[in-house]
Amino acid sequence: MSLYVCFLGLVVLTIMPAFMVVTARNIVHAAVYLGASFVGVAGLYLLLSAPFLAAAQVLIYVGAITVLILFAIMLTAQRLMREPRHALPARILSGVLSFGLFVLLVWTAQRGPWKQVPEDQRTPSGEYLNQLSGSLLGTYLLPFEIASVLLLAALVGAIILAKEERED
Amino acid sequence: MFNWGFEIGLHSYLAAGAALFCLGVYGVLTRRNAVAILMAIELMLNAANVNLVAFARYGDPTFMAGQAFSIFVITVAAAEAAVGLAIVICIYRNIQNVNVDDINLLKW
Repeated sequence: MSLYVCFLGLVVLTIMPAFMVVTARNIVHAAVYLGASFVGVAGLYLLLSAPFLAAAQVLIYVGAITVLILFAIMLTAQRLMREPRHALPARILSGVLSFGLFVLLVWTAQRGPWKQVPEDQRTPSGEYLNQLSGSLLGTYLLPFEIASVLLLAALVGAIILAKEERED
Repeated sequence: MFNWGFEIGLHSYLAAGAALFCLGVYGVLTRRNAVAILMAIELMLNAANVNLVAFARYGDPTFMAGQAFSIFVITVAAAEAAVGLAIVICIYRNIQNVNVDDINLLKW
């Protein structure tokens, strides 16, 4: 029961700011709500017994990506803090489309034949970090290295794209 | 058929992920500011991560495959955000605007 209350609170903490992200007129407010939504997702990770992912979520998303987005807003949208909206029919159509997708997804999630492992057959979470680091640097070593190369390439590419071009 | 009782299971997390994802879809469809569209994309990536970790928690006896995969998703999302925002800044420098309806240099 207390787990249920925790879950509901975290879902509200995730979904309400996410709703504000997509509806707020002021884009700076939207970015701050995005940070709040990321914190809610980190809480969901904690409930799902993934504490390392929760920490990574707070560090990377809340700490880095939200700040990066705020910087981009400050650098681009000085005149356009209130963005123009689409016409009302287009917005209603988008709302109906995404709500239909939501109903379809929930229906599938309820009916799907998901294979679930019983509670007593799971590995205890005491060895959690050992297992995670073992799988990252063992089973998934090649994707790990590729991800690091990707990050390096993205870093260099972002710097080159955003660098001011001076012709002299 | 539906299981809405006071019981948290895989289906609850899948429903939460679906709600987050559909909010992201709505944002991508309705926002006009390129930075706002990138924010909605981040919401969708988070929804995918919630699903991955939920499946890892309930369907995988060792917990780890889904969590390792969502670490990779977070990595790729960080790279995507950096490059996407750099492109937005580059566009702003060229046309003094980040409204996606006005970014039509390649259209005609």
